[in-house]
Amino acid sequence: MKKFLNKKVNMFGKAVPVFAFVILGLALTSAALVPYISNVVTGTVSVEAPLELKISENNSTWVDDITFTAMHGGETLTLYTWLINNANNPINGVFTVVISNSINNVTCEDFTSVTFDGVDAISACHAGAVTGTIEFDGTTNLDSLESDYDTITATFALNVAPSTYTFTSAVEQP
Amino acid sequence: MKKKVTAVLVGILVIGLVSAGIVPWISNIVTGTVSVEGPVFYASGTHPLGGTDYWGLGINEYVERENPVSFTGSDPKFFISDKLGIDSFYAANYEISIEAESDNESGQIDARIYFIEGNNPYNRELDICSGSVGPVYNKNIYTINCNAEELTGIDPEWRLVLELSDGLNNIHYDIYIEGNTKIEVTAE
Repeated sequence: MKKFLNKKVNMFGKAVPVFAFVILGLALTSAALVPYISNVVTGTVSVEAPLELKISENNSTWVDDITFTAMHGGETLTLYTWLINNANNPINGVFTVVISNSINNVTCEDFTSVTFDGVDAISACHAGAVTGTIEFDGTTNLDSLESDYDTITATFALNVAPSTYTFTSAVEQP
Repeated sequence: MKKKVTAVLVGILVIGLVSAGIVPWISNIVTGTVSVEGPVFYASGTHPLGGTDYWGLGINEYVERENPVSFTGSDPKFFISDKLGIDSFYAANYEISIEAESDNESGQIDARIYFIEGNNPYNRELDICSGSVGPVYNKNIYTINCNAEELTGIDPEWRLVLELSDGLNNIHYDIYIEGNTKIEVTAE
């Protein structure tokens, strides 16, 4: 091997050792050729929903998820929602509340009353997109940085089968 | 060449939009969860039928009464609810708790729960279940458990009745209306 590396080849009339060609080959390989002829710059942006929604059981502590104190059939659950438009333009949307339960059989008859800000809403109850759920919809229009507070009450029927009920709320595109 | 470059840029844009995860929501999603149990019917210091003959059977609530209500032997004491507004009820266990005392060590309370229509607790429309507990003597909370299959054909105008008595024994009983005399319903 040593003999081979010390061997010389004739290039343009001059004797060049094979060793020199090996070094040149290594240099070209490690240069990691790229197509760019400038440096590369990057910009990163976190895109969040323009509307921020929170829920509360006492109208003062606002969270994303909450577990209410257990209730009995015939009792009324009161929950509060707070919505703010963080975007720099007005936004119209559809405020939705979907109700499901742990035995997948919610119907509008599970409630004797549902109100939004004191206005009866039980007549607007309809089946949800998922079987065994129900849904309530309403429009919301908020200017930039405007907030909206809502009080929702739901009275369970006396004979509602015991289970765990989940109220899921969000704002959809109109 | 320009067309090829434009096509490539549009393709990249489309891929970008798809990978952005377009959703119908324009807000975050919030959830509230609540466990719903069966109702509790409390003996209550009210008179839902007017007069003073019958006491109330409050739905998930009660009005406390300072002095106990009494009955003797087979002269029953009735606790009656407001109209229930339901047409069926799931199969359930009914735990009847009675805070009571008697003037005889061999006291025994018979409890029965049923529906009535109108204002007369003697006109039973549909029996739910019944049971007995004893001996009842010192002031304590005495418990009876009974079960019923799913109840259908209930008229929304019907009321629930808790009847307490003691067969043929001429024993005096005091029933306390302080939140411990109640019927707790749990699904079977």
